[in-house]
Amino acid sequence: MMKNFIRKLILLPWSFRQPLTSIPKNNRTMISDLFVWRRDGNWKTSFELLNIAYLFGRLKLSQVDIVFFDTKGNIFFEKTVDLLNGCRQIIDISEVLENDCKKKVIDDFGTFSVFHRNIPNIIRELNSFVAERGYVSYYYKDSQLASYVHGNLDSIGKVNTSYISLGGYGLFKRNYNLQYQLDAGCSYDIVITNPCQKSKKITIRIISFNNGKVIKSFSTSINSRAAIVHNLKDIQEPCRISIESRMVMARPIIFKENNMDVFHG
Amino acid sequence: MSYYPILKAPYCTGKTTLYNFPPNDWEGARNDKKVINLSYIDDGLWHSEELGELAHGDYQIINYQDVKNLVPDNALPLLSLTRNKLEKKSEELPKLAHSETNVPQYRSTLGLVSKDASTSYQGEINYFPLQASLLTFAPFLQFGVNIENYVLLINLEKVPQNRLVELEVYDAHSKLLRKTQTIHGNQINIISLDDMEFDNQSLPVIICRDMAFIPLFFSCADQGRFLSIEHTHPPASMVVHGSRFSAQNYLKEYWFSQCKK
Repeated sequence: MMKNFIRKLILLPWSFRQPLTSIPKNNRTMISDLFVWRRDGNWKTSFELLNIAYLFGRLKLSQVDIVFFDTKGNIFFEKTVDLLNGCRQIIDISEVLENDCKKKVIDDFGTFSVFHRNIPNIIRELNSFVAERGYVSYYYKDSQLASYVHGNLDSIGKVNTSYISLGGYGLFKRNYNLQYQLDAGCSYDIVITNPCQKSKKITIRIISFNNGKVIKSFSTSINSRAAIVHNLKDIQEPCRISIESRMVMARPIIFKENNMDVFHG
Repeated sequence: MSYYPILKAPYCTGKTTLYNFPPNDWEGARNDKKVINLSYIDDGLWHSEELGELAHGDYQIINYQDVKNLVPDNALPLLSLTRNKLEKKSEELPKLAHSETNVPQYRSTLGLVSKDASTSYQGEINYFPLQASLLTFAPFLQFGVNIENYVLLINLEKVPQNRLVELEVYDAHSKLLRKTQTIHGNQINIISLDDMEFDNQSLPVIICRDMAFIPLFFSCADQGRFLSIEHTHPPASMVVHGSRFSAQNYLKEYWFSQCKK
């Protein structure tokens, strides 16, 4: 018991008032994860849109606002979509950016969020919020199959026309150690989003399983609501990834190009 | 700590990678070696045996082939990392120590490997209570020549039995029943999703009123040349903060009453 108390005391600088995400003050806030879109020569992106209000029993027309952010985290395009009741709607994000966006999109990647306008009454009665943490699919080159990745964070809120970043961060740096073994000879993209209000510095370290030494290191800043894509080639030995930042959980998405495997870290 | 299953699916074999280092450096996880255990059901008991040790900072890949001769056919092979050895035979699933981290919990890489491809997700499994149920909406069906779709339903319960329950699959739009199938507890159940005339606008609703599962959606093309796997969220994940599990109960009551056999 004493040991536990001392342990909790030691951890206070990393845990006191540092939740993973914050709770919006306005109960009309719509919440979404910060998803990653890619549209370079290799990758195509789609989003599986579900009518959450319908799932809670609403039969009237429901809509979502899809908001796109560029590599700097600035909004450059918004699209409203009418939702179908009880159906699957696949939004081809690459096509939307190509055909619907009036401004020519020059970035190869960025982020987007999906806000459900119609919040079921039961959700408000429970002091809860609807959150879009659904599924993005990625196609790599000529692959016959998409690889799906689920959202996992309530990253950003929208009330009327204003946005609030909900991702938690602390006073001190901390490391997120991805429990994954990078294969020698494979190529990976490590993708990290910033759900916090301000720009965040991160350092990605590639650590050898053979001797525990850092064999590669890369530092950069990520603007609020933006993402970075760090390409990792020429891995010579089994390695792991460690990400240092002040974000409570700098959890990456990993794109493995050999075999096309995409997953949340 | 959690259990880590070795998966199975058509055209593939399972491959689970265990890690003995914490997923973060600030929750005070201990840095010591751990025992690798294999647990499975045989003759109405849980059996556990030691596969070796894993040094701090290291990883270990365990393929289904590595344990095939140790577990009965169709038994669910479960791996775990512990400080102490588990009881060799027990009438309840051995209780593992609490996870040393919460943001996130310890995970392993749960993979499937074919001759030409591999796919994986970061996962773990904890036992479900007996009264639990399953409701999930599944937008992962993929279509094309030689593409097959399956849902892999994994259950883990304390009692060393393979309870039989009924799975129901509905269409979310019409709410019509498309399929029922008997499935087992403490197993990975492989259910084809290609025999229900779903198309690319269909949203399958998967229900089990008497047992909870982790639903993994697995697609393969050309008998394993391409593979894809991902799990769907429990309904509570559509809601954050407040009484989100009451929202899940509301959703389950609503869909269980709307979808009738």
